[in-house]
Formats: sequence, structure tokens, C-alpha cells
Amino acid sequence: MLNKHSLSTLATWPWAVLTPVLLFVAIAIFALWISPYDPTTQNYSAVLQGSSWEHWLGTDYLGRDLLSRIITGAQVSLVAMSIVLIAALIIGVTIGSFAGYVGGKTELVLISAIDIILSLPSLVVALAFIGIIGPGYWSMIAALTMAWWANYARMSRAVVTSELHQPYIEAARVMGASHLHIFVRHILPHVLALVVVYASADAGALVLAIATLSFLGLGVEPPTPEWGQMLVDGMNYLEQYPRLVVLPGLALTLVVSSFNLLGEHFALKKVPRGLTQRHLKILKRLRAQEEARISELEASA
Amino acid sequence: MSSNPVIEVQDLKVHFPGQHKNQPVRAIDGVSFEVSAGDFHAIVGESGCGKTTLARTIVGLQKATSGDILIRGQSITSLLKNRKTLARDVQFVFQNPLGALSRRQTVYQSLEEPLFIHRKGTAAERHRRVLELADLVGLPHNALDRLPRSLSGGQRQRVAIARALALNPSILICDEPLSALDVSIQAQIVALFARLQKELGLTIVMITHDLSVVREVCSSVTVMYLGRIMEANNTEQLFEQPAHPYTQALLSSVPSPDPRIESSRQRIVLKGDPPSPMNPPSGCRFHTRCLRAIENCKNAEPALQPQRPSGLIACHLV
Amino acid sequence: MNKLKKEPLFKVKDLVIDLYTEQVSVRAVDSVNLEVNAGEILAVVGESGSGKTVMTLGPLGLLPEGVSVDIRGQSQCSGQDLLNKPARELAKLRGENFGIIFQDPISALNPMKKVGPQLASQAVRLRGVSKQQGKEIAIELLQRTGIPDPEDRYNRYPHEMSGGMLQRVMIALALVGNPKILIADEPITALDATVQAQILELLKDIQCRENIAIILITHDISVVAQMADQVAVLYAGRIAEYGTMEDVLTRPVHPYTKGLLSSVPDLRSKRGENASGPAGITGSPPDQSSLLPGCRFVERCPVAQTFCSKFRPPLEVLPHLSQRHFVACPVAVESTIEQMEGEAYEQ
Repeated sequence: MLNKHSLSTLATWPWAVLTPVLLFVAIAIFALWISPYDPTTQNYSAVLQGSSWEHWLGTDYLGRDLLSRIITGAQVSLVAMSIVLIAALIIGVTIGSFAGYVGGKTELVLISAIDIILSLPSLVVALAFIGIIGPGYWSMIAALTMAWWANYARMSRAVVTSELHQPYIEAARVMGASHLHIFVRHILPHVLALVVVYASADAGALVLAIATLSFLGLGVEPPTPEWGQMLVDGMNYLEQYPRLVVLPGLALTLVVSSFNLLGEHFALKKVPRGLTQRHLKILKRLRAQEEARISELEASA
Repeated sequence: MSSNPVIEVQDLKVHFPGQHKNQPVRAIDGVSFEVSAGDFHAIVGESGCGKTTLARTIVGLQKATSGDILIRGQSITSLLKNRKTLARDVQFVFQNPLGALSRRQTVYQSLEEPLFIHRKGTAAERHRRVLELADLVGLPHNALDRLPRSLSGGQRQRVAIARALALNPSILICDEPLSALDVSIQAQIVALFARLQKELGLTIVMITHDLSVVREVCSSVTVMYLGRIMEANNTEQLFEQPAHPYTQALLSSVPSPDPRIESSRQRIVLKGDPPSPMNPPSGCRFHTRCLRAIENCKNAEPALQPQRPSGLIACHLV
Repeated sequence: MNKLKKEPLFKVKDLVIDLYTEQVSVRAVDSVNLEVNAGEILAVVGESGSGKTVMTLGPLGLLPEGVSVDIRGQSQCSGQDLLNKPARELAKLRGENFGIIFQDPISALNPMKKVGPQLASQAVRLRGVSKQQGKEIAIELLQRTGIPDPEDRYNRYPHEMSGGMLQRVMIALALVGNPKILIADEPITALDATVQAQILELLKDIQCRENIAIILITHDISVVAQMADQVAVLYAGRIAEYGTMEDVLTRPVHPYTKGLLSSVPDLRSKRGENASGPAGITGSPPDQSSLLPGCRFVERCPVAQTFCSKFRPPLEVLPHLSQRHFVACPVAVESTIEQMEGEAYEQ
């Protein structure tokens, strides 16, 4: 029953914007198997090579295979991004929903704190946090989580407050439902439906933030291949070997824009708009065929 | 008329904070009445008369500012300490069924929810009860897997009614249950209410502005204006001999669907709109629009008194 | 009634309106023919989704946003074709000929502007008068629509006025361009019972005094009985019955009209006459997203025959004296004619 249902909706999925994202996710998952070399193995006999059959995208100044480093870099970026997103979602949804559900003074205090964080650029918040706890992979994750949760908290609170006054919530209350029941059964699904969609749009920005922090030397540490890190390494050879900078930069751009496109697609779906001329033409033709069939039926009867 | 009242409303006041601090919106301002067991009671009035607030207060969705509501002699404030007990006795039907049903729940889930909340029976027993409820309100079983938005308006209201009946309550409070429905569907739902009331022995309080429907099915009526009761009586008496000038105007404002009656009917057209409940007129609240108002009406608020041969009325002229 | 071949003020002929969204294609109006003469009140009656609003406002280019529309057929106002006109010309024609009154005045007026200036600027736009004249026209219109103390009300914001007053302002706004036709879309649904009567009286008054035709879109049979000269009963985008108000309401022929009338409880009929409550119609309106052969009412119809789901019933004229009673149900028409002949025979 469930299978049949999901299969039938498969055709309506936004494949055009979903494919690039899925492609990158697949690369990240299978990085270990598809990268031709170990990304950290140095090979001084093959330093700064151009593209060849052995090294499709060439090697860097330590003789490491660039393609393998970019592929593994995707994994590093996407894993860090997922950890931050999930942590930020959990914290944000919990705090925001709590604020919206409880209301009153508690809500006021929480929402003020959220607004203060939101009023600062997220990267500034992250940098300040790293300044306190020191650089490193996990402090980068913690810092970015700190910078990102407030957004989701704000959205969750907005959804909770608007849903809370819907008659169906009152109906559940009249039925004798507990607060926990009302929240879990009725409100949380609405919160998640909105917040997860926005999170998919945020994914691109997060990948960029991770690269930025690593570029500044505050995030992923060498020798772990990371695109921001690779950009720094390549800077020294920019004039002779621009591909050391261009290729990781390109990978970064592609990932960020594919996530943004997906987010944009979801955001646009929420706005009702007319059909495209082409779509309308098809529908009109279908209707005309239907009409012809009906009049034929009525004539033959 | 009340041998054993199941609902007693005692000098109820519900005020909301208004735009100005010292000027609350007096949605309900001193209302007392009783509904006896097995009654189909109607509360009628125009918008802003407080009828919806009254219904919400009876089911505990709205806190009373002062006064009390007794359900079988027990105060609503003590009953609300355990909502589940109240829920098993008193249920509510909302005006707009589309809003009152979760848009993410199928009909089946909506009907099962009260049973689930009250931990009634096993999954199989709940399943049987859901089917039973669907039959009770005339809902086809193939509608059970659908979402509210793919149902017609009448079917949605049937689902809402079935859900309200799931716990076998004895009291049903309905807030304008027909106003969101089409005419031909309204008739079906009215017939459904009448049948359910007889079959299940329900006590129904129906908030409505549609007097024709009241006459069809209700046994007693309370007429409200600006947070006060103007007149209360059994349906027969109220429609045959309306005593309060407001009741008379309200009845005469109802047009007839029959052009032969329509062209000859007498009507009292009131001037202006109802005043705002934020700043109700002094004395009798209706005096600003009353065609028969005398000097005393401006100064003294008439008390709700018994009238002959039955019922209650608040008017200096009677 | 005379059968003068006078050109009607507004008419639609074979009007078909399809609404397309990403999810569904709905045939909202399905081959409808209607006429409105000067100074006449035509009531368009139907339940929600029957296409009554789309049919009336669609040809004027007023349709909900986010929906793609395909309109076919003819629609004319004083001999001028309304369809296939560029948006700008249509807007001009609309301003000159039509005044529109919406159900909910509060959302049709600009909440940030005082009501008087809203009227005045409309007068400047439509009549090309000066600002000062615009103000004079606005005050005169407020007076004409029965608003007490119009100079004072001129400077009020919409939120400072009651529902009944706002609906009067709305009517004043519709009258600014000296329209020949007023379209009133459920004009009293949002109002209180005691105020509804006032607004209907005002509309009737305007129609009599100024000889303006009114197209009244409503679901309320009592409003029709009070106001209309002609009635068109719409069901699922098609006309079920069309004729003079007396004919349609007192001698309904189409089973849908009959059901609709029996659904309406009458306050003045004695209790007990129909103790089981109003009879009503079983079932609910059909899904209009797919086209089907035959009559759209067939699933709910008490007199349906097998051929009803095969042919689309034509709109036939009944041999009354008036010759203006049209019914789209061959079964009902036949039995009515038999009955009439029977009565004539007895006499």
C-alpha cells in the first residue's frame, strides 16, 4: 500500500533540482570506493603534475591526487554540514516550539535571545564562539550549530503560535487530549514540514561556511582534505597552477548552487502562481480531446 | 420548564481586554439560563451578541470572568481540573469543519483520535467503533481513508459530528454548525442533528443565527443581544408570540423563500447596526434601536423576569 | 410578457470557462446562455462551486489569482464584445458599464485610506473630474446610499465603520462610474440579519430609482424571492432552470430546483408540516474536474432515467404563457406538460 503510493508520486518529484544534490550525496557516501587514490598519501615523485591517465585532475604540491582530494572533500563537507544541520534543527525546534507553546514571559525571554543571535551575521557568531573555545573540527561544528539554530527556533515558534490557535487544536483539547499529545500528534508535523524545507535551502550556505572557516584555518585541519583548506594550499601556486584553486572552488560552487536550487524550488512551491504557457497549452489540448470524446459518446448514444 | 437541568449558567460574565485598558469588551455580561436533559436548545442573536463566547465557555475553551456554569450540578472550574472526564460528557461541534479537522489526518485517524486519547479498547475495538460512528452519521466507508480537503462540506461536518460523538457524550454544544455549508447540505445536517438527538437522547445546545432552522428542530430558544439575554422561551411560544421588541424585529427580518408570502409580509426594519460590545448603551442595551423605547429604557436595565404563559423576558414594556 | 426583439444590456452566449491549476482542470462554466435587460434584476442562484461567481465576473476579466483561465463563447455588454479584448480596453469597458459589490466590504476597501477619498479618487479616475468635484460626487454618493451625516463619514477609516455602513460605502463605490449594471456578489452574506434587510432595500431602491440592472449572485433563495425579476439556477456550471422569479420559485420544474427549494426551511410555515425537517437533496455536488456525458445532477436526482447519463439535457422552453421558463430536464418537462394538459382537460 505504502510502496504503491510512494511509487506513484515518484514521477512528480522535482528531479531536475534533486538530481545534482543526490549526485553529490552519492559521491560523498561512496567517496572511499570511487576515489582512485588515498587522498592523503604523498608522492614526491609526482608533484604538481597536469592531468594524465594516472591522475585525471593532476596532483598538488605534495603529489596527492587532486580528484581523490576533491571527492573526499565532498564527504568531509557534507558530513560536517549534516551534523550541524541536525544538531541545529534539534536545538532550534525544541527551543522554538517550547517558547511558542508555553507563551507568556518564558516566550518573551527566549524569543529575545533568539533575536539577538539572529541580528548578528551567522559567521560572526561562529567566529566569536571559536574565539572562546578554540579552533578544531568539533569546535567548528559546535560554533556553526550555535550560529544556525536560532533561525529554526524562530520559524518553529511562528508555526507553533499560528497552529495553536487553529480550531482543530481546540477540538483536540475539548476531546481531553494532553499537551504532549497535542504537540506530538498535531503541531510537530507542521513544524518539521516547514523547518526541514528551509534547512535544505540552508545546506548550501553551511557548506560555504565550513569552507570559509577552514580557509581561515579555524575548521578542518590538514591533512584532512577539505575544499576551503585546498584553496589555501593552492593559493601559493595560483599563477603557475591555477587548477589547484579553480577545481576545488568549482566543486564548492556546484554543491552550494545545487543545494540552493533545491531550496529555491521548495520555497517557490509555496507561492501559488499561474501555469506556464506551454503547460496551459497541453492542458487545453487534453481538455479539447476530452470534449471531443464526450460529444462523440453523446452522439452515439 | 426545568425539572432537572443538566446545564446551569449562573450570572456569567466573560470580558476580554479591549483596546483601552479600562474598557473591556463585554462579550457576555450577566447571563443566566438552564438547559434541561433532552432539550434541543437554541441560542440566537446577531454577531457580537456573545453567543459563540457562551458556547466556548460551556466547554471550557474560554475562562469565565465571573459567575459559574454547572454541568449536572458540578462547577465547570472543578470539572476542568480533569478535562478527560468533562470530555466524556460534553462535546463541541465547530463552525467550520475544515478548520476543526486536522488537515494532515485522514477521516479514520480523526475519528479514532478521541478513542486513542481516552485509551478506549484495542485497535480492533477502535476500528469497529470508527465504522459504527461512520454509519451513525451516514458517512460512506470509502471516505475513511481520505483527507478532509478532499471531502465535500457536508461530509466534513459529518466527520466532525461523528468525532464529537465518539466518546458517547450526553451533551453536544454546536457553534453555528450550518453556516459554513450549502443550503441543500444544511438540510441534511439539520435532519442528522434531529435524528441523533432522538436516537441517542442527547442534550444539544445549538448556537445559530438562522431562525428558520431553529423553528424546524429546536425545542427551546434563548435570544441574546449584546451580551445579555433578551428573551427565552419554548420554540412554539417564542415564534407564535414573540414578546420582546428585539425578538419581534429579528423574526420579522427573516425573509421567506416563497415569493407569495414575501410580497405581503409585514416587516420591522431596525435602524443602524448593533452597537459595539465595548461600549454598550446604558439602560436596556436595545433601546438605541428599539422602536418602542420609552424614557425609562435609557436609564434602567430591565431584569430577566418570568412572563406569561411561559418563558423569561427582559423588557420594561411587558 | 411581450416578446420584443430588443437587444439585451448584457448577455453571455455559449459561455465556457475552464480553470486550470497545476493540480486540476475544472470546467467551472459549461455552455451558459443568459441575458439581462436594462433595469432588471437577474438572480444567479447556486451552491458553492456551481460557477455563479466565475460565470459573472469571468467575462469581465476578474478571476482569482494563481489560476489560468480559458474562456470561450460570447459575452456582450450593450453590443460590445467583452471577450478577446486587451486588458486595458476591458478595464475601461468595465469601469464605464459595471459596478461591482463584493461579499466582504472590509477586504475590498483600502484599510489605510479614509473612505471618502477612496470614493473621490475613483470618481476622478472614472469620470475625469477635478479633485474638488470628486469630493462633491463622493459626498453625494454617500448620501444616496443612505449614510447619515456624509460629510463626517467622508473622513472615516474603514475600521471605524460598522459592517452595514461599509457595505453602503461599497455600493457607493460601485455607483461612482454611473454603471448600467451592478454586479452584487453575495452582498449580504457577511451581514447581520437585521442589517441585511436594510441593504437589500437600498439595492432595490437604487434599481427602481435609477433604472440600473442588477446581477445578484446568491445562494439564498429568500433573497431571490425578495429581489429578483429573473432567476437562473446554476448547478455544476450549467443552467438547470431559468425564468421569471414567480415561475421558478412557485412552479419549479427541474428536480434540482425543487430539491433546493425544499431544503430551505420557511419560518412562516407551521411547525409539524414537515416535522422531519426540510427534505433537502441527498449526496453532494459532483467533481467538476473531469467531463462526463449526460446530466450533471443524475447521481442525486430522484427522477433520473437511464438516458439521463447519456445525453446532455437541452435547455427547453416550457409552454407557459410567458414563454420564458427554460428547464434543462426532459423528464421533468414531459411530466409537467402532461400535468398541465391534465389540468386543462379537467377544466
